[in-house]
Amino acid sequence: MGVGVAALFVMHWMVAFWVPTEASMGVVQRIFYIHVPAAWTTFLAFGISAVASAAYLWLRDERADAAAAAAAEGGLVFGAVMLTSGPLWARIAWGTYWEWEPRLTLTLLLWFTYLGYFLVRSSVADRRKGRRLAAVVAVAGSLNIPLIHVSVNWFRSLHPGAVVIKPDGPTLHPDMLTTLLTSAAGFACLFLGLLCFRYRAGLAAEGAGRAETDGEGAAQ
Amino acid sequence: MAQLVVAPSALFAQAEAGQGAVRPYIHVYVAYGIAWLLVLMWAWRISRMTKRAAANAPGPQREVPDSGR
Repeated sequence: MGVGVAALFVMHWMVAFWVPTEASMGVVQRIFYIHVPAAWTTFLAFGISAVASAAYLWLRDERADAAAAAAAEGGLVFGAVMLTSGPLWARIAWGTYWEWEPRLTLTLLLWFTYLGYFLVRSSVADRRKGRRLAAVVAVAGSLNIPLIHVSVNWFRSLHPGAVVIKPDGPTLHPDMLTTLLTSAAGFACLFLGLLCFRYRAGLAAEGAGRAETDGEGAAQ
Repeated sequence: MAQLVVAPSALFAQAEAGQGAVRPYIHVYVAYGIAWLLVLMWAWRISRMTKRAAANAPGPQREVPDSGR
């Protein structure tokens, strides 16, 4: 996590003093250096949640469920970063905060799907059943992620296409690419560090809750 | 003074242009600020969860030694 924070400090310096200003959009394009890494981190988080959820469904191991919940929570946080930074950029670039176009709509749907993950998890009286249902939501929701990536190519989209992850390689100014990758590394390390802490906190809370229940049972 | 009376629209346009130059910076600062706020809020939530779990954790089980009687 420390590496992530350090990388983000370096990124801020690069954005403020080093990276060149984009010719057509000007200063507001600098939101790119948090918007895109936040998006990538969101997809990483929800991907981890989906894999952990699948493991929970298969193995019924509470640790997998704790990992899935921790990753989903991180995905919601970084997803919120993406969904707030994007409209702030769009207002200047497109003249509007939001457009109901494919990529934006699918991304918002993804975010609400994982919000639904927590709602399902907590709304069912039988805790184990709630967790299994939530795991299904997480796995199904993750199918949206590759769709979001290709949506700009498959559908008529206002959102710019990929400039890094594309078949013929990145088509970005080298300094911009360096700044972007520094930011992405920082975001990823920060997320993974916080994920570890959140996972441990979730397991500890689970253990404390179980001990309390056992204690109550013994007292009765 | 005459300029203010005769061409207020020009002054208004100048003010608008000034705002137009500042507005992208505001959007950039707000975007970065919101990003940090959200991440720090998550970190704070994790910290609270950890403290609460530690406070509710069962104490160490003490084994009473067998006196042998």
